[in-house]
Amino acid sequence: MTGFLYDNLNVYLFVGLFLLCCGIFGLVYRRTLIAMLISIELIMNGAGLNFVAFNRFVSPEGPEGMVFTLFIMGIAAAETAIALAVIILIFKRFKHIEGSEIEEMKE
Amino acid sequence: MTETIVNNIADVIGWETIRTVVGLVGVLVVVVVNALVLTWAERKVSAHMQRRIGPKEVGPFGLLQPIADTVKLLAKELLTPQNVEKPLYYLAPVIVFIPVLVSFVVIPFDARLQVKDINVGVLVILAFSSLSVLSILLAGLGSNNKYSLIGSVRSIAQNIAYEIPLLLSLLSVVLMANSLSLRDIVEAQKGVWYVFSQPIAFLIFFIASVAETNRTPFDLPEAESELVAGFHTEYSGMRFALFFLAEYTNVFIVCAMTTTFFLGGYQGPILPGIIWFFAKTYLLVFVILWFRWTFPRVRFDQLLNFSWKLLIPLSFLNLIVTGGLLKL
Amino acid sequence: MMNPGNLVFIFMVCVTMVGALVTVVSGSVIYAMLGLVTTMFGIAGLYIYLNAPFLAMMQILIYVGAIAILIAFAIMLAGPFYKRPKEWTTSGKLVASLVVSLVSFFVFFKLVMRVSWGEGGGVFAVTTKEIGRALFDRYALPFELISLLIVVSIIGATMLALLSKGEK
Repeated sequence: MTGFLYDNLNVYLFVGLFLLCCGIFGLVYRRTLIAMLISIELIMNGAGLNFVAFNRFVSPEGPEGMVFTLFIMGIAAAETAIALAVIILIFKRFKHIEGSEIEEMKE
Repeated sequence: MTETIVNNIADVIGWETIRTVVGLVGVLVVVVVNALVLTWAERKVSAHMQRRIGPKEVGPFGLLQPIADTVKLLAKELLTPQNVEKPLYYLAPVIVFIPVLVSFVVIPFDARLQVKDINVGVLVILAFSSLSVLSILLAGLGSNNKYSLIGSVRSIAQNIAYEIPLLLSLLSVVLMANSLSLRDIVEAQKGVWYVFSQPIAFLIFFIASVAETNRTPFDLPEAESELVAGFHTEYSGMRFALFFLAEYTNVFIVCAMTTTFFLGGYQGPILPGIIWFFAKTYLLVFVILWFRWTFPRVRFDQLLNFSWKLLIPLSFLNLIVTGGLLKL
Repeated sequence: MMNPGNLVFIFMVCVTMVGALVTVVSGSVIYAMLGLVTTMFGIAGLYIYLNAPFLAMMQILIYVGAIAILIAFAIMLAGPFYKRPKEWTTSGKLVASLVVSLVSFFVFFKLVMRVSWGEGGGVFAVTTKEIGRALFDRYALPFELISLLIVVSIIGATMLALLSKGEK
């Protein structure tokens, strides 16, 4: 590696990619709805890391990447709140939160 | 002779690292000494307020009492209840210290005595105070005990309710000082302290931080007569001592922050800055200890109503008025 | 090469990746949430290395201080120690998820990391003041829209909670 390890764009891109793939793996593998939501949070974190890394290395003049990462944080918060409200309602109705066993609509 | 050794070490790891290490050791010393002082002071102050004397056997004025307490707690058996979730149970007393230690890093004790002046220092303190909620969560979940769970849920609700007025009142101070770094905020109070130009923010900040540290009158989650002992029911001996150490250190941090943001930090006429800093901080600590035996405990719904319905609109109003007056 | 800055950076990267692995592999949802918190801390450390201290503290404040606590509350309300029953976990799902994630990993690896993105011109001049100015100047409209979104989600979540209470 030339110079320090943290002056390299590829390391940050690799970490972001790793987070994305862990998130996709978790989304498909886990059965509980809340665990799927946690995997989605992982994916969004990886995307934010990508944005800030590109801001620092490729276009350092303006704060666009960082501003967008702040937007991602805000949207993630709003979406998590709604999703958890829905999940708690599902738990009250079905008494469990296995994603593949929730099939019937209200009769 | 020591100079050459120090210079040799500095050539290997750099002066910044040495300064950071020395600063961290100093912080640990302050934490331990403060815990001892506060344990003694709490018992003496509460005793005198109840017209009794308090500890007077161990050492002159009972000054060695905290050491006796520490020895007793250390000698207790480390009892782990049977069905606890072990990782969460062991992790909670450790995590409760991290926000406190990190907050110590940014506090300016004197004009040149600050471990590191981070340029987003206010945010560091706020971010890590929201981290202490996580340790309450782990303690409640890991204890496998209904009372712990209810106590921790109540404590978390109280903590997140009072975080918001804390943040907003600090924002008014940041607006006035035009910077997020703690050194700049102290320096900006050279003319008039912020307690005089922002009295409402001072009151809101002080009340909200007393609620954050779970002290009376907001100590429903750990009251002795309510839920056994709230979220640290299942902890005994050294782990319990860690929770209480963290609470006393939290009280010190909160008073240190109030001093820094509102009372001018280390500024004062004749004595060196650090003496003024500790004097102001311990004055506020005395006020917090005074609260405990003056006010009755607030009921839980009154507690949450007070935050959501009174403190948050008031701090929003304060922020708007501050912003408006600054720009005109 | 092995100076403190590099060592701490490698530690942060390891914390992030190990946290992500723990999140997706662990047995119960509580450990998944703890893994998520660890990952968020690691990412905050990486933001500091990317000259974004404001963003690092915001990451801890928003993600760890609010979202992780929210998820933990939902876990406490929806059954905390809920482990996957054995008969519902098939090995087919494991193979399928591994295939999906590995294929996407290799595709994106080829796409993203074999390209030279070019060095940007100009000095890095983004401070907290810059971010604030940009948020209120050029990006004021998305900022307001996101606050509207958050208000809508608050109202929605409160309505959902009242709905369930009205059923009883």
